[in-house]
Amino acid sequence: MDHSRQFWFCATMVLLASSIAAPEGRTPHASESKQLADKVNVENAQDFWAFRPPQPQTVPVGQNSTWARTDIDRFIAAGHERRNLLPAADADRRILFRRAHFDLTGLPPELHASDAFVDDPDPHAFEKLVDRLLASPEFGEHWGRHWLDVARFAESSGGGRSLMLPDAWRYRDYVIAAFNADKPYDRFVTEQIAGDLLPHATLRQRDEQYIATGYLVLGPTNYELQDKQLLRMEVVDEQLDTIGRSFLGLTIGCARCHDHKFDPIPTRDYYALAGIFRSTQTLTPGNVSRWIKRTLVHTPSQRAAVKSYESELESLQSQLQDAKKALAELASKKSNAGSDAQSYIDELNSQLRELEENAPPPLPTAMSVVDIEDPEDCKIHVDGEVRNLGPSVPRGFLSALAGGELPVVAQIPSGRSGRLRVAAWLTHRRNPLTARVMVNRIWQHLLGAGLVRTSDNFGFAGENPSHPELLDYLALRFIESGWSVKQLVREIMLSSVYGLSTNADDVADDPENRLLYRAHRKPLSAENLRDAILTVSGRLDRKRGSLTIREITHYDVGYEFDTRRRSVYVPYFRNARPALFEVFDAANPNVVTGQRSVTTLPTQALYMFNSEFVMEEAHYAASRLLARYDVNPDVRLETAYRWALGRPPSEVERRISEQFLYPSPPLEAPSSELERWTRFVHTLFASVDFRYLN
Amino acid sequence: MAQWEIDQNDPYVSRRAALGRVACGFGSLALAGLCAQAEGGPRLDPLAPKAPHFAPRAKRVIFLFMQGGPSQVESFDWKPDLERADGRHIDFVGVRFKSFGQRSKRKLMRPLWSFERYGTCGQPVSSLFPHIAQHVDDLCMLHGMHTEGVAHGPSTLFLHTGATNLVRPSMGSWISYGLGTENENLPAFVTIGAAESKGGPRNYGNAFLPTVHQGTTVGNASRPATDDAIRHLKNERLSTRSQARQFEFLRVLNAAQLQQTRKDDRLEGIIESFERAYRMQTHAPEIVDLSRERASTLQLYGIGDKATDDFGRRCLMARRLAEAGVRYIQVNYSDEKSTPRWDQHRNMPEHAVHARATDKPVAGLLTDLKQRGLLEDTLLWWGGEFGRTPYSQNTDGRDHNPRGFTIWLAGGGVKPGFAYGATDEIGHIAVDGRVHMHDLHATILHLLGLDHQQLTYRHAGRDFRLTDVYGSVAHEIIA
Repeated sequence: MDHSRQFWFCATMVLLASSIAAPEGRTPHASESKQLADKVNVENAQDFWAFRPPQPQTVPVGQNSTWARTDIDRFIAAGHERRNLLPAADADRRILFRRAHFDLTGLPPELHASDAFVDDPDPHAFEKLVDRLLASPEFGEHWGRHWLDVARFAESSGGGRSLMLPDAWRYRDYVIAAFNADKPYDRFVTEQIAGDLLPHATLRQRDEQYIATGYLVLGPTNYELQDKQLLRMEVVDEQLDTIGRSFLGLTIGCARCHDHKFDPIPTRDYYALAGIFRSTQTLTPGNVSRWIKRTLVHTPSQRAAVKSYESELESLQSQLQDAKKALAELASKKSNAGSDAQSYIDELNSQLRELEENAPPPLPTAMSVVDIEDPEDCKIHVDGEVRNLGPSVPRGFLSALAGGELPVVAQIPSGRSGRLRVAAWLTHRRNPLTARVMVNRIWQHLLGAGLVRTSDNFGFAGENPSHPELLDYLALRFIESGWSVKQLVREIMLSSVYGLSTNADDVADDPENRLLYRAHRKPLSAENLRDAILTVSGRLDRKRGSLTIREITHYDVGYEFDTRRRSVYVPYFRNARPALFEVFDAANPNVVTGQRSVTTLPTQALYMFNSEFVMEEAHYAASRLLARYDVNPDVRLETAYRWALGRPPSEVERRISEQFLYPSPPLEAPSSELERWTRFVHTLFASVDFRYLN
Repeated sequence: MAQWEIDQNDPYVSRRAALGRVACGFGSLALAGLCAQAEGGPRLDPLAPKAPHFAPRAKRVIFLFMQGGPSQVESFDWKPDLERADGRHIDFVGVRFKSFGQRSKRKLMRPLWSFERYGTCGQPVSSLFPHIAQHVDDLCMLHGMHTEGVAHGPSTLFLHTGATNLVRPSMGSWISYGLGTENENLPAFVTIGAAESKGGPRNYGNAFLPTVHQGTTVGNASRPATDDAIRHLKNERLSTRSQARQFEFLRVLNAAQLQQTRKDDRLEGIIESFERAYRMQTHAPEIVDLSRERASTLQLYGIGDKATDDFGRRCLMARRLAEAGVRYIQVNYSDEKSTPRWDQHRNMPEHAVHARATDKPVAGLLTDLKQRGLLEDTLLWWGGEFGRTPYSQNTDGRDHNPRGFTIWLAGGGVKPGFAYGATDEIGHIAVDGRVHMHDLHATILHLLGLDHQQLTYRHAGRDFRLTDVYGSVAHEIIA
């Protein structure tokens, strides 16, 4: 189709379509669709801190030089001193030990290691511990999960009919491996945006890069949406929203219908980026669309097996069709040969069944994207409507973040979508947001709150950083270290501020502890809670990686979760989730979740009280206790406390526990020893100290 | 402390009293300290009742969701012209993927059931709904409804959240957020027998609103109503007595743990959540337990009759929840099939099965609410995610029709015995008194005393609302 014809075709379609499918009678309120061009000011964007590249900082020299151990501490101490705050005492070593384990691996520590650590006179003991935990494969499992939240990872599509995504696990494993290998963050970003366009030395590397682009495809997509023009644009909108919030901490999506109300993102910038992702194909056509699959490396024999299966299948099916036709003809002629024909069909059918039952495993594939043949700029969608098109905008990036300073990435070569340039733009060292946003995420996970607490929104509507200088210092350190996540984690953890106690009285001047005079108490995530319970019961299955969906079916509806694998490997669907995940605020995979909501709801209490899972695991934990410490109830009590809470009971706790376990006078209907201990462990699971990390 | 003082008689409500009792149970040690620990004032309850923006006409909503899209021309939108035009062809412009924008001819199909006029208002109802027909004088018909999406998933999501694809909070969540709960033992938003497909949890999800506003599910679409329950409300293993003992132990244990740390609202919040859970566990089973209802009431809802038992139970439970002060109760007539319940792409006569299953229970609910004086401040909403086409599909079926269909409201401040809006002469496209789904949302919020433009929540840098930037209140239907 030549261009002029294509134009007419499009124009006709648009006219036709707008007369039938535009939302009739939906008139946007005038006040809200109003262009707010006067407020947006790309030129002056750099007046706002987040749009200026991070600046080198002089490390403050403070008075409290004994407390400050690292440069990070010196920035923190400067904040304390400005407001006359005294830092809390260091956390108890046992607490610090438990804190470090959960923060780095998401799992409770081994008991005996704890004693050894508490008694270790080596001044470098904590440093060694951090290094050991950073090197453990559980690090990637725990930190990979943080990223999966941000990447709105799920293994089904959500939306109307929630299709299973059988290859999504490869992206999950890729993320885990990336954190374990300390893949430089700039590389990590690039692979997710444009891995399919990068050169590769080996097929394995090629595959890894394909898999990384799953990031673009994993969103909640209503594949059955019938208006495919709208669907195509909604996928792009979702991608832009996700990229904006996950990498830049910006709500780009706001500019879809009007210039951004708070941030310097005019609508034309939105469609400049949209052009790049419209030039990238994510969907395949069809009544119910599908995603792009790329075949991964496989052996020649695998390929041969699939090929021969397919040709046999085809031949059987066509024989069957012929036979059915013949049977129909015979029947119309009332011929007696009908019964022979029928038995022939039965025979073919049984052959077909047998063939299908013994089908070879399909070739391995990954969810990915591909550049379209003729990449092109995108027209502005007036008010975000797909059938109300304005002028075309050259493909490009957010002008407020380029500020003329990122010329290298400015032009998109012809015939390319421009995704590689997006990656280069995102990871450019003068990009003011990418490094800041990531170091802030890391800080948030370790300290319990971000320096910018709105970790997915660094724009005007977000919060300002509590320690802007520290944020810049960390961002530049991060870039200079070659974007090493592990080095940054290490540096933060070895600072005094990480090791503060949570126990210090509220200070009227800083009720929210923004200046970090003490540590934040952190709730265990749904995953950590589940893994901790399974660790105490001794039933956690530590196997790593690979597909964990029991059986791939069309939809995720009604899926029964029965695995005891670590939580990061529990199939993560959009329309079916384990009760524990649902109840304890696991990330909603429909949106970028840099920060999970923390609720305390009665439904959680009901779950802890009455769910089969908690009671069952309490039973196993109690059996394990009785088997190991069958003589001395004192030791048993202490062990239960240490397993569940990582510490021995206080004197008061010991006495009320004994009264619960061995009441005096005895109960009218005493229960068995196992039953009593089961109830005891069950109650420990439900207690506040199990749910929060000190 | 007011919240605690109301129920001093309930030993589980006052933590201080409980700790006093525990002194006997677990030894009187260090209790002075534990009691002091437990004396914190009440925290802000996100579900506490909130004042609406203006005087409400309704205090709560019961939404009877007819999933799949019941046919308007065979229920409440009588089109004599369609009967006469049976078999004639009309020009049609496709809205589905394969036929998008294409013009074609479609064959009109007359309604398969006859209509009669009922009540003093004389509104027509088809013979599919003989029981609901007896209530026309209480119903407010909206014949000019139209909505977004053509497939079930998008349209169902749109009906619940005001968006076909983007993740938005469900209407019940918005109402919970706007008004809170009247009953501290129960959530503000309950959905009964919801399906896991066609949007599934997103249809009762809180999206970015605080989690406390998520709909609480009772039962689901793939299990019979006799199994309906709030999850984890019952303990299958423990006797009430031993659980009470364990609960007391947990209280003291938590108090002892709290004693070792500085005061922390979040930790106290956990303790409070256990108190509320315990109250729910004590009171909610009573509310969802239908066994104490009178035989005549059960009969009214068609409970005990095979065809109507399931939906009858769910309607009765809705009344009990309404009575108990739940704000938004959705009763789903749903299943998990790819062509759900009312979705007769072929075999329209199957509509009779679904009409039979729901007609008497819905009529029973109307009667029951009225008898108890609840209809005045309870808004009832009956409807599907869209309607059906006046032309046939697969010979004897009808396709989805989002461009014109009927829903009805009753009670809660709407005009009784009233009809508003109209479709064209064949019942295809809403032409008069058009009410978009956004408008219906705005109108329902209005009846609850909420201004849909003011009920906003800031998320990801901007203020969101149920009606996006659309919606206007249909004042014409308000009494």
